[in-house]
Amino acid sequence: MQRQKQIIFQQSFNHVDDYRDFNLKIESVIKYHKIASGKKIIICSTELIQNNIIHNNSSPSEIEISTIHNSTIIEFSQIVDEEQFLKISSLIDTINNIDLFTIKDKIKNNILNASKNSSCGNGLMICRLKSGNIIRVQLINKVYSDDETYFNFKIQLKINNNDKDN
Amino acid sequence: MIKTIEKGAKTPQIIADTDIAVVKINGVIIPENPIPLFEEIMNLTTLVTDKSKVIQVEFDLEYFNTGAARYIYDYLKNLKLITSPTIKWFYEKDDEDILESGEEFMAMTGIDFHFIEKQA
Repeated sequence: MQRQKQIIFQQSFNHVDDYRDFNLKIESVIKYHKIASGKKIIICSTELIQNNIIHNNSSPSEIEISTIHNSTIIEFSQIVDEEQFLKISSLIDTINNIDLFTIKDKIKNNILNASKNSSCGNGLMICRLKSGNIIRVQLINKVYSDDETYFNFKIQLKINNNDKDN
Repeated sequence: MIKTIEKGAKTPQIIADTDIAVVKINGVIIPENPIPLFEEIMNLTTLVTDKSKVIQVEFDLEYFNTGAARYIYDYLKNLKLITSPTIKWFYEKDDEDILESGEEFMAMTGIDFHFIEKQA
């Protein structure tokens, strides 16, 4: 049984071009390591990365995927302003306190009722659903500029490799 | 006539065959902005529906993002308005994610789906 955390994929996104084909890189790592829950890992990683692309202007970020025991851990770090940090933290807190059946219904309702020019807001809910676990948020540090405080934080998902799909 | 749009890193291959009234969508769908892609899919679909009242659309997807899910639903809803569609939804053995997604689209749209397990 694997006792130590093994990092199987790590990528920093420092420029918008770095985001171009991230999914292909993650796919090849998943295939190489033959991880049973590979599809969930790709889906969750995609949602986290693309939330940053869409809502945070493709700001610099980093993803790390590691395995430990029978789980895969996805950690996604990004830097946002205070308003966004509070919004994301609050949203994750809400999602963590909803059961998975209700999450599924909410995702479906968001698709049915999405307006033309808005995003569905389903990305983090899909992460909660596919992982089957709560989403962890860890503040790494704050970065101060003249007129703004930025929050460097990490979202962590744990995916159990042996669970049936959610 | 067959019109094809090749797949990209984040977009599927799309094939529209007007002779047999079939549209095929294969691969992944994870563009950050799905609107241009689904406009292309609808344009190709219209090539088929302009010639036939009955159409078959085949989905053979590996995975798709939440943005695409909303546009897949919209596409199916619009398809139902303009034609009599039959959907073939392919999935790999043990890929409950894709199978379940298809079942949910079927339930949301009321369109007849045929679920086909791909042979290894």
